[in-house]
Amino acid sequence: MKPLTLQPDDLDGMSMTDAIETIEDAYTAPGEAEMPEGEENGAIEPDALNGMAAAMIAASFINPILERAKIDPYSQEETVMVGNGLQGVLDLYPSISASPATIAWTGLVMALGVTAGPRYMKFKAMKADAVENSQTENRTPPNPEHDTGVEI
Amino acid sequence: MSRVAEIIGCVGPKGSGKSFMANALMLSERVHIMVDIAREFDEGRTVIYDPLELMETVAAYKGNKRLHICWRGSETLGPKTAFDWACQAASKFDGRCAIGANETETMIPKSKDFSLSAARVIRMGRHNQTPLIWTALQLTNVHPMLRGNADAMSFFKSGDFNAKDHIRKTAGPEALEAYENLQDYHYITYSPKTGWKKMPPIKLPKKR
Repeated sequence: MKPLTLQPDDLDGMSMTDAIETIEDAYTAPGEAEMPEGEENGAIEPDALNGMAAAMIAASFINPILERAKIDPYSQEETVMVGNGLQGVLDLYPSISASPATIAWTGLVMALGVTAGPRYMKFKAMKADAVENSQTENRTPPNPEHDTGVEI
Repeated sequence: MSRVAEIIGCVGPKGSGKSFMANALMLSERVHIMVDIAREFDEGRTVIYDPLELMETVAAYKGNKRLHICWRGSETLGPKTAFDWACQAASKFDGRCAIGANETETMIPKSKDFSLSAARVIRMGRHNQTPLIWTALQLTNVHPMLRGNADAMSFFKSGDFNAKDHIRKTAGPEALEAYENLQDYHYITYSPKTGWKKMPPIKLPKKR
C-alpha cells in the first residue's frame, strides 16, 4: 500500500460514503510511488520468475560461447556496453505497460544484441587473423636444417 | 460538564492531573476520538492507525453502544495531520462525537495554521456536535485560536506566570488567590458563562 497523500481537507463537503471511497481510491490509484503488486511483501510474481529463469538459461548458453571464442567476458568496454543496455531497459520500465515476463524477454534480447554483436565481430576478426597467420606459416615453413647455425 | 461547555482546555504542569481530567471527560462521552500522540490512551479504546480505518469505524457506528477510539495516526502522518483527520471524521459523524487532543503544544504548534476541518471544529464545535477537549503544559504555548474559542478552561496547580496573569485578567483577584492556594490535583475552572469555581480532584466515570 502506498503512503496516503490525501489531506483531510480534500474530503470537505463530501458525505461519509464518498469520503471513504475517495480514501480507498487514493490508496489504490496508480501513481509515481506505487510499486507493482507482490513486491511489497518481498514476494516475486510467477511472471518475473519466468523472466529470471529465461535470463539464467540464456547466460548459461552465452558463457561457453564466449569461452570458446576466447573473449574476456569481463572487459571494461563490454561491461560498459551491457550496463548501458540494462540501464536503458530500467529507464524505460515505468513507461512500459507490459507483463514482467515480456519486459524480461525484451531486456534479454537487447542484452544479447549488445553483448553478442561486438563479440561476434571480434570473433570474426580473430578468426581472419588466425587464417592469415596459418597461411603465412604455410608459405614459409620453418626448416630447422637451414638454421642450425654457422659452419665452424 | 462537557455537556454544557463544548470546548474545554486543561492547563497544568506534568503530573498535575490535566491528562487524567481530559481522559475522564472523554470517557463520559458516548462516542469520541482521542488523538493519542504518546501511546497513553489505549486502555478501553479501539486503537486505530489508518485514516481509512478511522473513517470506516466511525461510519459503521450504529445504535447505543459506546465508540471509544484511540487514534494513533500521528505515528505515520504527523501529530497535526492526525488531529485534522480526527476533526474530519468527527464532523462527518452523524451525531455527537467528541475529540480529545492531549499536549496541544506538540500537536498544534502556534506557528501553523489550522486546516479547514480543524478550524470548523474549533469555531463551530458547540454548534455541530463536536466537542473538543485539549490539554497544554503552559497557556502561553497554546494556539490563540484554541485559547480564544475555549468555552471553559481548567487550571491545575502550577507556577505558570502566564496562567496566573490570564486568571487575574479574566476571573479576577479572588480566583487568582484560590488558584495560588490550590492543593495537588485540585484545579479552578473558569467559564465566561458561569464564572470561576474551585474544584476537587476529578474521578474516572464508572464503566458501563
